[in-house]
Amino acid sequence: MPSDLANADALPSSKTVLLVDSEIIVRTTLSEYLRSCGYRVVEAASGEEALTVLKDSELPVDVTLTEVELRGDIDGFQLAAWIRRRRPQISVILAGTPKRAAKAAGELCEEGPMMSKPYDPQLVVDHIKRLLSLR
Amino acid sequence: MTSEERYPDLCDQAAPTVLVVEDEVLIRMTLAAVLRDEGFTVIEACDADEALLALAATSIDLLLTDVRMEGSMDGLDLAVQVKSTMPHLKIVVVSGHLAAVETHGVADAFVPKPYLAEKVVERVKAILNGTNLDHAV
Repeated sequence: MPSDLANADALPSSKTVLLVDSEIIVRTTLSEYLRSCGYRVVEAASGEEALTVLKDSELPVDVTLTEVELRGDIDGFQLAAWIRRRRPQISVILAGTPKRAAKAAGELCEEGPMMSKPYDPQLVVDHIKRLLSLR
Repeated sequence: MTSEERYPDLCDQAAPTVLVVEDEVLIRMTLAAVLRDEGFTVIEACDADEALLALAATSIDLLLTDVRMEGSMDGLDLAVQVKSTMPHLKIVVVSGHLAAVETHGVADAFVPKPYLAEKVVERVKAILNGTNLDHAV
């Protein structure tokens, strides 16, 4: 298994975040932010993908940060409910907007491996808004 | 597109950026992790539509795409479109059902499935270093 996804024992200070967002710009920007503060991040574009990761991989996930509205048949609420039933040790954060997701990511960084934000989460929000407006 | 408009302000752009397009999340996850281990910046897309959004928003050095995917186009169509609009961008196509010859003229390299992730990474490195000689592994 790649060291980036290696067993937590190999890198005791690293935790794994499963980031679920159907908007690639939001997902990629938040993933990079979380990686820059020391988290391993697994990305899922839908609730179905998230469940595949949670059910079928041996990856130890510590936190799931998920958007509420997701493509496909499983939304963030349903995903959260599944996790609370089947993997209750995983913390779940539901974010209804990119701003809330960025705020949550900032808070995760403050309590995460490096215990500091690499930069202000508002920069993440501004950047996402700018890229989304270009479409 | 100005440098301000590209999200790479928020990530390491000293490293080459690979866009991995693969609809099977476990494969995509593993491939992305192996590439990151090797120092690449990786953007992950679950289909061609996401890939096009990423290509429009960021600076990509290499497109690594599966062929058979759901969505508005498959990976080969994506590669053809990228080839015509971004000729500088390197392209690697992976597939379990195409023959290498079908990607000639579009992709810089072809990788048949099943593959070892490490072999794909070797091919990506060779292409970006300009040392890739064979079209197919």
